[in-house]
Amino acid sequence: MLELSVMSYELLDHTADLCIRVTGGSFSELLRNASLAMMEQITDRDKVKPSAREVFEVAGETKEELLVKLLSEILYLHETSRLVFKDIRLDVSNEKKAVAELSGEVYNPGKHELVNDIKAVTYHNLKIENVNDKFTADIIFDI
Amino acid sequence: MRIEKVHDNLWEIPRTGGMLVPGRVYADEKMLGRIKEDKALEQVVNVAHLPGIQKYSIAMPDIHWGYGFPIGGVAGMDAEEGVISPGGVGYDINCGVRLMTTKLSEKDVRLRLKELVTELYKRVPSGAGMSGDFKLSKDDYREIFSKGSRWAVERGYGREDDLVKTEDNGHFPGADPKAVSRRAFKRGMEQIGTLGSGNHFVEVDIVDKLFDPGVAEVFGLKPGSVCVLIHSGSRGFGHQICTDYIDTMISYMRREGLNLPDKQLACAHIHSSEAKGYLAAFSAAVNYAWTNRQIIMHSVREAFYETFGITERELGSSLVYDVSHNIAKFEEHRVNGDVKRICVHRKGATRAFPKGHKHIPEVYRTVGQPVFIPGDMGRGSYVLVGTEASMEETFGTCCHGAGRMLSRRKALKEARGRNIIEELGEKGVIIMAKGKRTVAEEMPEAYKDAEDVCDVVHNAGIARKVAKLRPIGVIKG
Repeated sequence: MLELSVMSYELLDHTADLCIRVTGGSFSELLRNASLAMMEQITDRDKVKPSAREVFEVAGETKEELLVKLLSEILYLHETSRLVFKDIRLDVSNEKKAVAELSGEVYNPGKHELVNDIKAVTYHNLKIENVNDKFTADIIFDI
Repeated sequence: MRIEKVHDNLWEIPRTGGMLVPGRVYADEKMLGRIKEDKALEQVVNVAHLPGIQKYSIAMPDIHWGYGFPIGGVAGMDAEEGVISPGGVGYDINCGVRLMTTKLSEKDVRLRLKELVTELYKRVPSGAGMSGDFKLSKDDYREIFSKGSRWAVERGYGREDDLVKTEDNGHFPGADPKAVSRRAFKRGMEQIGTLGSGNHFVEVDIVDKLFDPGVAEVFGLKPGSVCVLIHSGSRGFGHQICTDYIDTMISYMRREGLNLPDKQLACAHIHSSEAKGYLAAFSAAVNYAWTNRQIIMHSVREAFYETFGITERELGSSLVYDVSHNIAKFEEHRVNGDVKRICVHRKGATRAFPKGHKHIPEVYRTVGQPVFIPGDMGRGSYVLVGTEASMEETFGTCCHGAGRMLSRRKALKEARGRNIIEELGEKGVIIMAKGKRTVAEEMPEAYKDAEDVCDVVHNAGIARKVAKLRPIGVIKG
C-alpha cells in the first residue's frame, strides 16, 4: 500500500498550464509530496508496478531550486527512459542536496493512461513558505 | 493596477516601481475585462523590469497567464546593453505554424476526408513524448542543429521552394552542438517528425472567406481550396535547452546581483558567455523545429498522395510560409528616431513585417509577410499580413493565436457528459487525437474567438486580415 496519508496536494486553476499546491510537514516531505503529485498527474500510480529503480542526486542553491531540479530530473527520466512512477524515497541533506530513489516501470500504453504531458517545471512565482513547520509551494508546470 | 486607454484597441500601464518602460496591451474593452481576470497583466509589468528593455513591455490580444512572460508577450531589448531571457522565448523554442495550399477543392476531399484524416494520423506521430519513424544518427542530429530545414530538403523531405518560403529560409545561424547538453540531445533524439501534444495539430482547412483578395492571390489562397495548417515546435529538445539555461541564468543573476520580480524571467546580458551559450543552443533548437515542421509537411503531402491516389502534379501543394511564435531575434528597429539593433523576444507572438522589408521572401515583398493565427478546432483560423504600423509600434510583431480563456481544468469540467468529437463532427470537422482529454481541454469554448483577436490587431493596424480558413479535419496529440 502506498503512503497516501502523507501525500497532500491540490490542483489550482491556471489558464494555460498546470498548477499544483503542495504541502508537507517538513521540507523533505514537501519534496516527496511534490514528486508524488507530479507523478500522479502523469499517470495513475496505482497502476504502476515498482519493477524498475532509478537513483540520482540533485543539488540547488536554494530550496526552490532544489525542488525544481528534483522534479525536472523525474520528468527527464520519464521522457528519456519512458518510465512511469510508483514512489520516491528521498534523503535530503542541508536543504541543498537530495538523493532520490524512484520506483516505477516502463510506460505501457495498454496499461497506463497518460493524464498530462508535463513538459517542464517552472520557477514562476515559486516560493516555499514555512509557517509553523507547514511547508507550502504552488508549482506551475508547462504542459 | 492603473490602466489608461490609448485608443479603442490599445491600453497602457504607466511606469511604477522598478518598471523601466510602460506596459502596452492590445485589446478591446471587453477583452481587457477578461484579461484582468488572471495574472497576465502582472506579468506584463514584470517584463518591464528586464534590463535594456526598449519602448514598452507589449502584450497582444491573445495574451494569457503564462510563466515569466505572459503568453502573447513581446519585448525588445537593446542588443548592446540588454539581456536575453530563455523564459521570454519559452520552453518550446521556435514553436510555430506553417500553411500549405493545394489545388484540391472541398468537393475533391469531402468523400474521403475520414480516410485522409486517418492517413495523416498514421503518418504524423502525435501524443506525449512520442518518437518518430525517423531513426537518425547523432551526426544527423548535429547536422539538423546547424542546417535546419535544408537538412530535410537534402534528404528528400521537401523542395527548394519550401526553404524560400520559411522565415529565415529555415536556417538560424550560430548554432553550436557543443552548447547543447547531453540531456537535451537525449530528449531530442527520436522526436523529429513528431507533432507532440497539447495544442499542437495538423489541420485540414478550406479557404472560406477573403478579406483582401489582392493579397490572398499573392499568397496563393483561392476561395474554396484545401490547405493544411501545421502547428508544432522543437519538442523535448527545446524544453531541455530552456530548462538547462534557466538554471545557468539563475546562477548568472546571483553572481551579478540582478534581481527581478519573478525567477522565471531569469536572464543574462547578451554579451555574457552565459547568453552566448544559450544563443548557440537555442539556435540549434530553432533549426530543429523548422526541420520538424518541414518533415511533418512532407508526411502530410504523402498522406494526400496515398489517400487520393494522386501525384504532386495533381495535388499542386505549395508552402505559403512558416512563421515562428516562440523566438528571440536580432533585428533593426527604430527607437526614438534612431535605428537600433534589438533582440526581440516573441513569446506567443508572430513576426509581422510589412511590404518592402528585406527579410521577407521576394514573392511577398509587394504585399507584406504572411501571418497565421490558428483558431480553435471549430471556428476557424486566419491569415493576416504584416504592416508598417507594426514596425512603429510592436517591433514588427502581431498576435499568434486565439488565446486560452478557460483553464484546462475548467474546460474538462465544461466538457463532462459531452462528446466533443461528435459535436464537431456534426459541424463537419473530423478529429482524431491520441488523448481523449486533449480534445476536451482543447474544445472551442476553451479559447477566445480568433476572429475577435484578429479584429483587434486589424483595427489597431499592426496587421491586416487577408483570409479566413474553415477547419474540416484535425489531428491532435
